Amino acid sequence: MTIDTRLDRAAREWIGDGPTRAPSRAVGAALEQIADLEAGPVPWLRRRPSIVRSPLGLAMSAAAAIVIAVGVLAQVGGFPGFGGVHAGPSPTPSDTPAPTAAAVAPSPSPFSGACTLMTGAEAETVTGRFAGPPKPIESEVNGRSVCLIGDSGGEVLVRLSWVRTGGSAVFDTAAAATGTEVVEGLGDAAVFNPSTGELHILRGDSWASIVAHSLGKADAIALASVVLPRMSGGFSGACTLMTSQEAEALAGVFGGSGSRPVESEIGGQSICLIENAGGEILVRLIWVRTGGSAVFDAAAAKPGTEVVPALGDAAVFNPTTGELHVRRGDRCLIILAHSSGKGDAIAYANIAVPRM
Amino acid sequence: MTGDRVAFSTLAYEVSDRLYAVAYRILRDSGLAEDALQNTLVTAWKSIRSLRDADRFEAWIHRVLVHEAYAEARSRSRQNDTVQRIATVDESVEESSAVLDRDAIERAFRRLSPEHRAVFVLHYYVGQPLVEVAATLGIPAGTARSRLHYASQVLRNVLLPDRPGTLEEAGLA
Repeated sequence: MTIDTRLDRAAREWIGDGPTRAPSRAVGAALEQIADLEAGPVPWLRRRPSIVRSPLGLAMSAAAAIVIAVGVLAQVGGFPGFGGVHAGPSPTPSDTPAPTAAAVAPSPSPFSGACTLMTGAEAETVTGRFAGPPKPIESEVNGRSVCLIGDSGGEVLVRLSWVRTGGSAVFDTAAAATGTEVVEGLGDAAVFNPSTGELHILRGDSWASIVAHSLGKADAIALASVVLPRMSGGFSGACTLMTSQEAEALAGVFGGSGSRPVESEIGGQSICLIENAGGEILVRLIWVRTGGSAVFDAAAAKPGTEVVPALGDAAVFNPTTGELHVRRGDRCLIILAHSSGKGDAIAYANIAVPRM
Repeated sequence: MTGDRVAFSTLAYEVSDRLYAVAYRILRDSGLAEDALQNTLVTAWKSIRSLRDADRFEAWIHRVLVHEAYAEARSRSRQNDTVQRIATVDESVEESSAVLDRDAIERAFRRLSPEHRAVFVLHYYVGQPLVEVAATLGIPAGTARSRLHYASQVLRNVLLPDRPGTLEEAGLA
């Protein structure tokens, strides 16, 4: 072995070794410090600068960012930067403390049905109403889950109904009602009933209906943009490529049961983290659905990468990062297994790649 | 400005892992890296208006981070001996050559100046080309190149135990 090879290998292994996750207390402390400091206005800040992703750590923080964003929305009652219409009164900005990890970390959702399709904060933001903390209430009767999101004054902002499987028959019945109007571009099919103010959406075999507080069609359609992606198990991106059960089975003893997929979408990349019950990552999937060829080519050009035959259109494994890049058409899937090992990454790929 | 502050806080969580990882690799100390990260975020918020181009955000915040890392390194220089002693392994223990290589690199790296470490980390860990490293640090490309060459030479030397004067060159003797 030459000295350069030895140095290169040892240096890369050594430099790659070490922590990749920031202690949340450091970020929290910084945000507390800036709470009293004015800096803006910064016009580009809410448009989100593009951030280069690093292998594992950033994917974790990306997922955390989604959690934080939702937590922040819950605290401040929504703001225009998230694309919503906020017509009602809002809390005084100066009264809003800067969020910290501890302050905004949400507790696990108590819901498993229709209330998983939309949070109270999202309902507030989209409907533009604010009359105190929203209170979602969920009930389930005969396979139909209903969620009422009301404000503290008792007024219902949104009513959601959801039949997760076998919803086609429900939709067909609703669509057959007199006076319904077809709504294009929503799910597999959608109709609005002006008499009831109810928007019915079909996606696969899943049916959902939405009634906005105004009973208006436009409001219902706006709410649908939040609901629709979550109708298929809540996922629309990388987490549709693999179930937590599949990841658990591949991870063996390390996987255990009760794993949790978390999906986020940033900069055109969909990131899915499947963690075991202890919070350790079983597998990380990054799915680039357009422009994936360029991502793949850049990865393949890195020194030390190994070609993996018979996987997608092309595949390479990087032993330094543990990442397996698989290209299929212009799509690229980046897989990092719990072990960072090549064999494990290929095993995960065998499940995910056919679904790309 | 609440919206800006909230947007910034979200961004802070997004970049914090990467910044911390870089700070740790420059400073080789988790406490110092944590302080550098915290100070970086505060400094970034204070001066974020000066950044007009959102596409330059990542390079810009890396530059802020590196300067905060320099400051942390300087604050710790008084305790350098302690750090060195803690980092030294028991050389009587028989270890594989790979482990010894890594230990030698670790010790050699700690003897480098923060400026040399930063170039090495941005190039080898962050993956920035030298031109980008230079832009991030605000130094000429030639300076970045010479710093990387020096750092690599020091690390290379510690892997040549038979070469006379190697340890002295590496500052490890």
